[in-house]
Formats: sequence, structure tokens, C-alpha cells
Amino acid sequence: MIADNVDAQGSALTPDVVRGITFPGTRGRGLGLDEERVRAFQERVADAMEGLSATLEARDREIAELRKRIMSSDNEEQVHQAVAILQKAQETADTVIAEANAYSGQVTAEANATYEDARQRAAHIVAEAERTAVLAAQVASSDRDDAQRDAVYWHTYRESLINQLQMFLNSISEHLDKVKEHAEAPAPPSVHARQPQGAGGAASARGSAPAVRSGPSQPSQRPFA
Amino acid sequence: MADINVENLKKSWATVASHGADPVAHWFYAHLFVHHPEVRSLFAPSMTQQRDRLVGALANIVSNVDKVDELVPYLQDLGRDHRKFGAVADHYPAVGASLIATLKYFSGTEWTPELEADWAAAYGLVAKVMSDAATEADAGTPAYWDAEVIDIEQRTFDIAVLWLRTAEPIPYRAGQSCSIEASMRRPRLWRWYTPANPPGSDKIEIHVRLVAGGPVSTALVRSSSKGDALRIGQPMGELALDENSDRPLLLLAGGTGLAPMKAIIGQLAASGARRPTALYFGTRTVREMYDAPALATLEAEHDWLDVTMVASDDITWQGPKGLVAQVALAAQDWTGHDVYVCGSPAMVNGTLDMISDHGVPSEQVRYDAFIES
Repeated sequence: MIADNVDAQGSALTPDVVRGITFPGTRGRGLGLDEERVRAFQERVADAMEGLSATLEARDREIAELRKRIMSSDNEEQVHQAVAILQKAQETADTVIAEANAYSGQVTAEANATYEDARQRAAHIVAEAERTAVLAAQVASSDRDDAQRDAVYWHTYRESLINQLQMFLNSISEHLDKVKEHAEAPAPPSVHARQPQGAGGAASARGSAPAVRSGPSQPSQRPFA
Repeated sequence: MADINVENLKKSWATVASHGADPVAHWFYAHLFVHHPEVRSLFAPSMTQQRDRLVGALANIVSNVDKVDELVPYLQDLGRDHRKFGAVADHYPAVGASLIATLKYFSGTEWTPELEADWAAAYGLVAKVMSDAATEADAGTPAYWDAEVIDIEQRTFDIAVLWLRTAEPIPYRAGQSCSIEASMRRPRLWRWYTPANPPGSDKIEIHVRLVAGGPVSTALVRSSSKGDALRIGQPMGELALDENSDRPLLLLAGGTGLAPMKAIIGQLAASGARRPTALYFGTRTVREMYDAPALATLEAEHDWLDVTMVASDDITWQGPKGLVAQVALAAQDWTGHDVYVCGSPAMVNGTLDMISDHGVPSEQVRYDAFIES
């Protein structure tokens, strides 16, 4: 005979426990419930419990799966967003640096061109002076002797050279004034709106992906090296 | 490679590349850095050149994936070379994962599990060859040497001579070049320069020409200070002095191509070989004869050395005029000489043609061309 155990073990009601519960008899007082109906009810409760349990387990699995997906870096949409943002930042960095390099290249090329120009002019001046002197000597040769003709040649050569050098130096001086004006004026805004990566600019050189800088747009006094 | 469907790989790459090399490389690096932010510092701030290099390497690997004999040495060089950037074995899986993700992203509906498996297998092989080569190299040689600038002389506004001190002597051969990083001024950018002195001491002399817009050369020529930290990578190059030969030498140098020649002359002097050597140093203008005093000293010190300077475009120059190779080859018969050539690609190509016409056998000719950067 199964002992009356309905009050035993207050916790852990499992379907099987529910099925196995017995209730104390009415001790012949005729006031008890129909035992068969109670049994049937116990069965129903146990079944319902099993059903709920299964549902709970399924829900738990679903939650675990969703949580995993949220936390996992394989969440494609999040990854694509992050990738797109990083790409944009990199494009900005690439552009800023390319512009800085281009500006530096431009300055070098201009310096080179100025020097080349000066060199060619100097060569031209020397050639011109020689030509002028030869002509003058030829003109003089008809009515003077050799020594005087040589004197005319050298005198004319010297005069011509000095005049041309004077004009040349004046034009260089004007050019330098223009260059100085240009160098002291603010350079193209896209380069100086952010800090240039100049010779000491190690800040963005190491470390994480450079973000767009929104610094003050004061022109840098420091020329690109 | 037996299990990998090479045809499918090539087709897949073609599909991906059709989106444009730069967007693909952009996406790849962004993906890599999102997942491994700690890797970003191994790269320079500007990634433009890096993207070009990545796509170039991938294209090369994919097109040669079935030519193992060509591919393996290339990958081994690549793996060894990557050491100086700080790449370690642990990085390869991360790179592989981002690579697969990138290929998948740009393949769209053409992506299949088989394709993924093929790519993963191919990458696995590539990574293994590279990584093994790097590990093997690590056992014998450092990835790079630390150095500092001890002196600078700006000889003209765009050419400077720098003297560096290294932690220990670097085992280059006279005439070889090293990849150098101006670690303080331009971190993560490496450029090739040639020591102008022979190996054996902890001092290295380099000649740097400023390239307009070039970040590294500009910094080295115009912003260097004593004490600047540098890193120097493994020496490479075909222009090394052949000490097994006893033929007389003809050295043809254009611009800063003088540097390897100076190293070679130094090596000859140190070895006591006394091989008759004729150096022809050519520039466009007199201004660019940046090392004339040092050459005059060398010529005075060594009776087996003859130095001739040539300018191609300067009316104030009283010496030989024209292209350095033209002037040299017209001077005498050089067919019994070892000939070394260094300068810009245009100069080197033109010179090699002239040398060959002159009749010097090609096995007696060594050369290196300086690519501007």
C-alpha cells in the first residue's frame, strides 16, 4: 500500500511526483472526493506540467540562440555597418595624406622649376653678352686696330652682362616677393582644416585607425617638409 | 593543390576583382581591423599603397596557383619580408578569415560552400609557406636592425647624405640595398636605400634624393635630426661586387646610383684587390654632383681608381658632356671588364642597351634601377 504522502517533501513537484501523490483516507466519514476523479485530475495536472516544461525548454533554447546571435560578431549587419564606417574613416585619412604629399610635391616642383628657370636664364645671358660683344667688335674692326677691337669687345661684353644681370636680379626679386606672399597666405583649406601630418606629427602615425578630425581651421605656420 | 579546384578559384577571383581592386582591398582591411583592432598599428596611416600591394600579391598568387615552382619562392620571400612589419604566425588565421569574408561579400550569389572550402584550403597553403619561411628566417637573422642617425649633410636642396649607426654590423654585400624605415618621422613606411660604404662596421652612409611628394625621402632629406631612430631590413640586391672575378671594372652611376659604386670601391680598397676601376658618375647639372669632394679624395688615395664626372645638361660644366654611358663607352673598349650600372630606370635601360651594343657579354654586367618613391 502506498503511504499517504501528499504533505511530504514540500518542494519539487514533478509530473511523476504529482502522479504518485496519495491523499489520506476520509476515515469512513463519507466526506471525501471521488478517488477515481482525483486520480484522473492528478494525471491531467502531470500531463500539463510536462507540456509546460517542454514549452519552457524550447523557449530557453530560442533565447540562448538569439542571445548568441546578438553577442556574436558574426552578426552580419552589424559587421557590415562597422566595416562601412571604418572604410569611410580610412578614405578620409588617405585623402588628407595624399593632399599633404601632393602639396609637398608641388612646393618641391616649384622650387626646382624656379632653379631651372634661373639656370637657363643665366646661360642665356652669358650667350647674349657674347653675341653682343662679338657684333660690337666686328663693327669696330673696320677702323681700329686689334688691341682696340679687343677692348671694345670686352667693354661691350661687360656692359651687356651687367645690364642683363641687373634685369634678371630685379625679376628674381619680384618673383621672390610673390613667393613670400603666397607662402604667408593660408594654403588650400582641405589641407589645413585638419592638422597636417608633418615631420613631428606622430599622433596619428601610431595606433588606431585615424578618425576624421574636426579641429580649428587655423592655417599652419609650418611649411611642409 | 590536388584537392583544390584551381579553375573555380580563378573564376571566383575574376568575379570579385570585377568590383574594382581598390573597393575589395578597402573592404578587406576594414573587416580585418573591425575584428582585430590591435593589428591596425602594424600599418601606416595611409593605406592607398598597401591596398595596391595586397591586390597585386593576390592577383599574382591566384594566377600562379598551379605553378608551384614559381609560386613557392615568391611566397617564401613574401613571408620573410613580412617579418619586419611585425607580422607573426598568429596573424595569419585572422587575415584568412577576413579574406574569406571579403571574397564571400563580393561574390554574392556565386558563393558556395565548396568555393569557401577551396579558398580556405588555398589560403592555408599560402599561409603555411609564408609562415614557415618566416620562422626559418627568424632562426638565422633578425627581421630588422635598429639604427639611429648620427650625422646629416644636405648637399643640395634635394640631396642629402646621412650617416647611421646600427646596433650591430649589418651583413650586406657591397652594392646591395636595404629597406629602411624612418621610424620616428614616417613609421610603417619602408624604402630601399644603398649603403655607400662596405660592410664590416656599425656605421652606414646613405645617399637620399628627395622625390617630389614622396613622404619618406622628403622627411629624410629635409627633416632628419641627429638621434632619429630608424629600422633597417634585410639586405637584398643583384648589384653586389663579385669578388671571385679579377677582371677590371667599369662603374656607371647616375645620380644617387653613386651609392652602391662607392660601396664597391670601398670593398675593393679594403680587400687590397687593386683591380683597375673606372667610375663614371653622371648627372644632369653640376649642382647634382653632390659627392664630388669625396670622389676626388678616393681617386687621390687609390692609384687603381679613375673617376670621371659627366654632366648632360649644364653649359657651365667644362668636363665631359652627354649621357654617362655614351661618354664612358666612347672612351675605350670595355668588353673585358665587369660592368656595374645603377641609376634611374630610364638611365639603366638606356645604358644596358648601349653596353650590349658595345659588346660586353651579359654575364659580366650587373645592375640595379632605383624606383622613385
